[in-house]
Amino acid sequence: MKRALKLTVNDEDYEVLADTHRTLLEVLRDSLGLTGSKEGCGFGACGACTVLLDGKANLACLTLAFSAQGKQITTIEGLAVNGKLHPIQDAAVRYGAIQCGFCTPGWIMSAKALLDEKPKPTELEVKTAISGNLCRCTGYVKIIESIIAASEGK
Amino acid sequence: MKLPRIDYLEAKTLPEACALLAQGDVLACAGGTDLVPSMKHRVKAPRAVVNLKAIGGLDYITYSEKDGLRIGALATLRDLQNNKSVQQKYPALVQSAAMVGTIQLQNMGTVAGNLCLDTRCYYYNQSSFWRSARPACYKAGGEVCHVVKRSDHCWACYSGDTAPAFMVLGAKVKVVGSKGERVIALKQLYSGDGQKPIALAADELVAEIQVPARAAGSGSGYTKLRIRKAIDFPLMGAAVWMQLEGKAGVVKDIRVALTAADSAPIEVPGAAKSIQGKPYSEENLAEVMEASYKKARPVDCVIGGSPPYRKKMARVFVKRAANLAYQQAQAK
Ligand SMILES: Cc1cc2nc3c(=O)[nH]c(=O)nc-3n(C[C@H](O)[C@H](O)[C@H](O)COP(=O)(O)OP(=O)(O)OC[C@H]3O[C@@H](n4cnc5c(N)ncnc54)[C@H](O)[C@@H]3O)c2cc1C
Ligand code: FES
Ligand code: FES
Repeated sequence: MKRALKLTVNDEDYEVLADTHRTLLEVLRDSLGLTGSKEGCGFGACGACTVLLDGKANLACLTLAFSAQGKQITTIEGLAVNGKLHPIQDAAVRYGAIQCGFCTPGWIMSAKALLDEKPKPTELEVKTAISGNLCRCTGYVKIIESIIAASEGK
Repeated sequence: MKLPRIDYLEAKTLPEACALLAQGDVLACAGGTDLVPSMKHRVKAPRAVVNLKAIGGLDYITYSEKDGLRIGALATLRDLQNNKSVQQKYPALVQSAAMVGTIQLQNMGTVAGNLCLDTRCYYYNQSSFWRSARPACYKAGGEVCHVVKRSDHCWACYSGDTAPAFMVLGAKVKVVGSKGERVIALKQLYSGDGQKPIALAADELVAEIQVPARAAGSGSGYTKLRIRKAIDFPLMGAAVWMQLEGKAGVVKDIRVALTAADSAPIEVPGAAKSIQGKPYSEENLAEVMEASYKKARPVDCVIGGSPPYRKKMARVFVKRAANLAYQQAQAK
């Protein structure tokens, strides 16, 4: 059953017609064209679909799109300002924390939620924050290094 | 994977939500982290879901010496960990909430949804395509259990992390339904039946979780066996509450509960008898560990450890949880 759905994504208001059984991930990718958030497992286990809802890391693949109405949704597309990368994105590139890139938008959103709350996290806090983001390529070391570098302004 | 076609409903109050549930074929969705995967797998395909998170004012956590701890139905596992009173008085609640899945799941998942978690089984939590290779099991509406052959009932495993912690703390839950409300001991929330593990009517919801104020000299702890340090459900989980008295730290009382050990979170009966009046030590804990081992009856329905191994681990994890509880109990 299609209904009008109003979402606020990266400070922009959107109104689309969507089926009531759509997940937030489907609407972001297929209706709004924001394909940065990825579907890895679709079952809450990999973190590739991580977006921020009111500043907290949530899984878009398990969120009913209609339940996200009225919330501030932030996706990876919302991080760069006027073409300038967010410090976490910038560090990720410089530290080689990206290989295939499929997990990258997800862990960067988890890292952003962490740094917004705790600008100078310990290594353990970084590891805990991204423990719900699986990466099959990098072995995590560079990811962790890049988040710590971003937190230190390096 | 896509969701089946379902309608989306919102309620502004709990009674309104109960009225929607009473219409039939409607399920409650809080964080959705258990319900949405089940719907994607088509083991649940209701006509509609009612989003409880649209109800305001139910995410409270309050503590007073008189009323103890009160947790609203929509407080998240993250809220529970961040609450100062919970951190000071109930470490087992912080420990168990912090071990649920991942940070994202703790941000989304509610405490009430965690208590009402459906039982799990390797043959059930699968797509309809995967399941179509075998006859449907009891839990999926069929007439057979693929885990315990020739069994007349479902053996799916209760795998929630916070339930044993709440149980040893003596928690109660306030249940509301279209016909009014009642307060029951947490233990009574569980039927013990893998097929329908939560003993609530279709139009009933957990409105509040109530934990007695922390008694002097008491402490609690929770820990669990899992393959990875994140994401994984418990293969065996143990919570211990204990109270000490006197200078020598003599055990006055102890309560033990297990998860991933049966189709419900279970309390180990008579755990206190063997250690009451003795100083806390691993030696004096031996019979409590043994009783826990005997009480656990894991079956081969989850991946990650054989049932005999998981059963043996009940001893080890009860010991670890007891050490955690002792730490708090002996600190002032
Ligand atoms: C990859 C993954 C890993 C996980 N790992 C763990 C883990 O390690 N440990 C663990 O315990 N859980 C785990 N979970 C399960 C789940 O994330 C948590 O149990 C969570 O706390 C469930 O809460 P929720 O609010 O999301 O529940 P929902 O999915 O919204 O609801 C769960 C069930 O409870 C019912 N319900 C919800 N609220 C109420 C209420 N107020 N009254 C009555 N019924 C209600 C729903 O109808 C549904 O049947 C995992 C899930 C995933 C996807
Ligand atoms: S796609 Fe959402 S957690 Fe894997
Ligand atoms: S870079 Fe390939 S999955 Fe992480």
